[in-house]
Amino acid sequence: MLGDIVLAVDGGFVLKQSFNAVSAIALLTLVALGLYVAFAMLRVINIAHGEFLMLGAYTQWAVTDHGFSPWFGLPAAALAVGTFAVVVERTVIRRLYLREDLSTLLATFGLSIILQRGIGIWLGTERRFVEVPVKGNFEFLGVSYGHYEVVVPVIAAGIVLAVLLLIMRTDFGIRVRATIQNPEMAAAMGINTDLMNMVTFALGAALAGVAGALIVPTVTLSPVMGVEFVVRAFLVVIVAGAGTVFAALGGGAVVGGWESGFTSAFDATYAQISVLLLVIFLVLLRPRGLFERFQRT
Amino acid sequence: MQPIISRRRFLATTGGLAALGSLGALGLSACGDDEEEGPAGTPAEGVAPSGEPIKIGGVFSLTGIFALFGELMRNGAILGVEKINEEGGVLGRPLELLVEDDGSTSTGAAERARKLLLDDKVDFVMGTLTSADSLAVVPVATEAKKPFFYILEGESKTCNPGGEGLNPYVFGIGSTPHQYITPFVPVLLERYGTDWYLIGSDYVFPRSVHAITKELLAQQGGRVVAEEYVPLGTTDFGPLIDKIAAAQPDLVFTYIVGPDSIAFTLRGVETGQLADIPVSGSAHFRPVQWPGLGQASIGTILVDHYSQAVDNPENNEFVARFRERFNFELPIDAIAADTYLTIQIIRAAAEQAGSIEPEAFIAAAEGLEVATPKGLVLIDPENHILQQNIYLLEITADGYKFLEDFGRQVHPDQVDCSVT
Amino acid sequence: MQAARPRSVLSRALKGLWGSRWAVFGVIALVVYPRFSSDFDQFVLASALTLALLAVTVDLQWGYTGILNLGPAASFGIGAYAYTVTQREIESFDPTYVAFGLAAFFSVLIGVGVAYAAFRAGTIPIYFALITLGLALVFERWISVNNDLGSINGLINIPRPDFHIPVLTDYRITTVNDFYPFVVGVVVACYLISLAVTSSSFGRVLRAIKADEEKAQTLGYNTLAHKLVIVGVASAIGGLAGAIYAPLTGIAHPSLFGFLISVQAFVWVAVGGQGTLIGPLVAGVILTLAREELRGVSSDAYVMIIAAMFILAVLFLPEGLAGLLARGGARVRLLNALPLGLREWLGVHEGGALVR
Repeated sequence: MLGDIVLAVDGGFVLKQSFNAVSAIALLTLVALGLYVAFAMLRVINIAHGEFLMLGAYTQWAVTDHGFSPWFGLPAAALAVGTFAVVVERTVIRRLYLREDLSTLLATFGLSIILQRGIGIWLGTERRFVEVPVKGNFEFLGVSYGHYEVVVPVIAAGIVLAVLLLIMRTDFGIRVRATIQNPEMAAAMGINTDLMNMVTFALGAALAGVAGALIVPTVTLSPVMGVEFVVRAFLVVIVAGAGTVFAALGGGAVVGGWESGFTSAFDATYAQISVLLLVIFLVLLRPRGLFERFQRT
Repeated sequence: MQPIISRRRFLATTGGLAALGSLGALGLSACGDDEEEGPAGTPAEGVAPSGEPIKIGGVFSLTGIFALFGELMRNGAILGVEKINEEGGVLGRPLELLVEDDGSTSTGAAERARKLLLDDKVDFVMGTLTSADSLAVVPVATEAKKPFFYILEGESKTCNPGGEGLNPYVFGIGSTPHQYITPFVPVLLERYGTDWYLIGSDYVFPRSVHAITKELLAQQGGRVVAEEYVPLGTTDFGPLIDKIAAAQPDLVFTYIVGPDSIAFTLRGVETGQLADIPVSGSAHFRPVQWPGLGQASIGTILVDHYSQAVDNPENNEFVARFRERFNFELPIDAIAADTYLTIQIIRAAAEQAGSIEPEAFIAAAEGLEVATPKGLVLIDPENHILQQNIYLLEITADGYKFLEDFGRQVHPDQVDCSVT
Repeated sequence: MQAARPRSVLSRALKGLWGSRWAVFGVIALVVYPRFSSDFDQFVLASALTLALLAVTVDLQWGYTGILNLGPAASFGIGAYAYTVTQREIESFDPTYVAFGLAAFFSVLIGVGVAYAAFRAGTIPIYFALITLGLALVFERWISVNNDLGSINGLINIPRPDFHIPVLTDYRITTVNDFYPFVVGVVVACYLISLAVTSSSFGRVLRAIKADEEKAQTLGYNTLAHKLVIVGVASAIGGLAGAIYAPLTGIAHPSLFGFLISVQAFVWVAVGGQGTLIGPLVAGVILTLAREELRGVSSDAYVMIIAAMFILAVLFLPEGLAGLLARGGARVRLLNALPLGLREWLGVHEGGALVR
């Protein structure tokens, strides 16, 4: 039927590959958004973001394992990880806001190792799997799509949109942005900046948690699963630069689109290597991020 | 919803077992570390072994990503030592197993092997999982001039650096791709057809397997539709499965290994894209992965150099003892049997030589035939790789069904030796 | 303060070494250690010292200059592979010297090259940290799939150093224990060089850059050149460390570029104390030996404890244990417990202040 080499010639296949790229971008943006919020707004470089995702995934596993609905697992993961992040913020991160160096990066480094090993000791290091919440598949232009394959990017995009609206359009968002732009002024105007910082950090973590719960049925659950995701999420943040939250969308599109496209066309290993090189190159060209013109000055 | 619940149960069972195992790991490594401790087994009936124990060092991945594998390997070795000590030891002396954890890293494997050889002065070293781990131990054991038995299947690691001649101190217990691919390819061609899609994890072993596969396919009228590798630790198999579905091959021949294989299989089942495309391989479907992918792979045929269904007295005894000793209910993987039978091989060669001095031991081992759970094996004097039977198996709802015995397979000379 | 009179680097280094008599104790302890330890203990200490050199490179860049290179393992891995490939491929001439030379050369080339591009582009520190982390990752992934470099199996069969100078000497390392004196020598030498660099006027500029780079520029210092030189020195030491580690452990593996090697170096610097040089070395040696002693406990639990110590050090001891000992009450109590004669020899007054 086909020649010796499989070429992406028919329309259905091309459409599926495009769908894969869009899906990868939506998912990556969701994962990176929480990291970006903490970075751009609090100047916190959270290496443990991947472990927050891992905790969300384990929450989903625990929820479904106890016979509850996986749809309940999504808010449960956000809540559990968000609560945990409050504890982390109060005990560790809060002490580091005033330091100009990269102490948050180092402290969350340690936190990520503790979480990986701690979950490993508690629940075992073996890989686990979570049932797909919606089984089955359908065909479109001769190519098969799994139902959940479609559900994941839709939910991811929905959450990203909701967060953007929250920050850009609500009273809470205004206060958050005010706190970030000028903490002293915000405090003088009666905004509880300490509380704002805590809520913002917890929000970022909750996003990682819900992302973990959302994708865990399609991946392997393990204590070290966060590492793969956090590396990509950092690439998004680097490309985005410290601008508005919209820059995170741009970063997600560049990194997710490149890797997905490269994997479809060539080879998955070199897709990973090339995306790293791409980002290093971009940063040398635009040292403050590719989307720096979105930045407030 | 009934099947979902049963699978959940299954995962829960595995989790419980792993927790039990890690408790055992703590206990054992504690005595392994202490030189004053006695041998791992207590002599029962027969002549009780006496005198200075013969020390066997085991390097296993008890923590890290391969902890599940390492635990099975260690348990096999413990059982082997217990059995031999019950039967009077080796040359009248008891065996003592000293266990070290390499943390699933190859630098860890080299360091732990060095500790066993330099500090504990063990007489033999065995274990290691990945090719990289085994290769890391090879120079350490060679320098210490002590026999080293690597367990897992894979390319030969018994040659001297550069592929020149035989390294006398290294023995391969698992089979090589040549041994199991050669009889397997004709069966698959006949059963499924000629157009194959080759996939694998992106490292040396799957690539060398597929190099042999391609050669055999070319000779026997098969055709490679595409060949593709994915990085170890790949989480999203969607793009690969899409490409396979678009190509519609007669067979997907897979060497995706470790937990990735489960992620691949489950994704294929979920999207329904692999419903009409047969998938086969061996490492992809090994029994240690069964809790994750067994139910999703019913009807798949594969080859292995061991199966719990192999019917011989040695295997019947091993399976019964292993289940009882470790309260183990899942299909037993070759890695557990291979560490167990390594102890049997050590005894056979030492008694033949009348000594555990490396030179005499090695000379006696070469060409020796030993009855083991995986059948009668012969230590090939040319390359130190076991000549062993290869079995065709099929995955069923409750485990692995025995289909055919391909007979004893020989690894040719030193082809594809990976010691570089 | 008068302008410093020019003094030779050597005399300054010797004075620095003598000034910190703790370092003298350290060297004596290293020299007598083999008399009280097994072959394997020496191997463990030698590999700990080699890895601790990487922590020294982190201290030079981060502790002294404020350059956060999150991928110090890149220089380590480059050194390991450059040494291995050279030793395996070059037959004539004296491969050992060429191998060590190329290990340092390639490591400096890549380290300084990337730093130059990034600093010239005006990369902010956070991005520099992530670029260096990404670079180490690129190397790890690329070598993992490069069959000529052994891919994920790594390279074994690594010839050991053979320092051959016709007529004069032929110091050949044949067993793993021969490494110990060689490693101690290299570590002491690298420590002295680092000490000389950081205690000179050059080192004062580095500290000024860390405190406020713009101010240092305004004062007329070429901060870019200073930063590139210290990255170069650190890369050379890191490359040498890797070139020792590969033949010592007998394997060059992609994981030498890995995150864990980098993290470990940072933990040692944070716990030992940044900007002290000796702190990271001592922390590295003590933590490695402790790991060996606690082997039977559980490596996961051990790693968790170390990570917790690291967080506490970041939170409460920005200067590490060395910083604490250098002035805190613990040091006073510790020193006051020593016999009077020893205290006098150490130059310690009642109350723990150091006499210089």
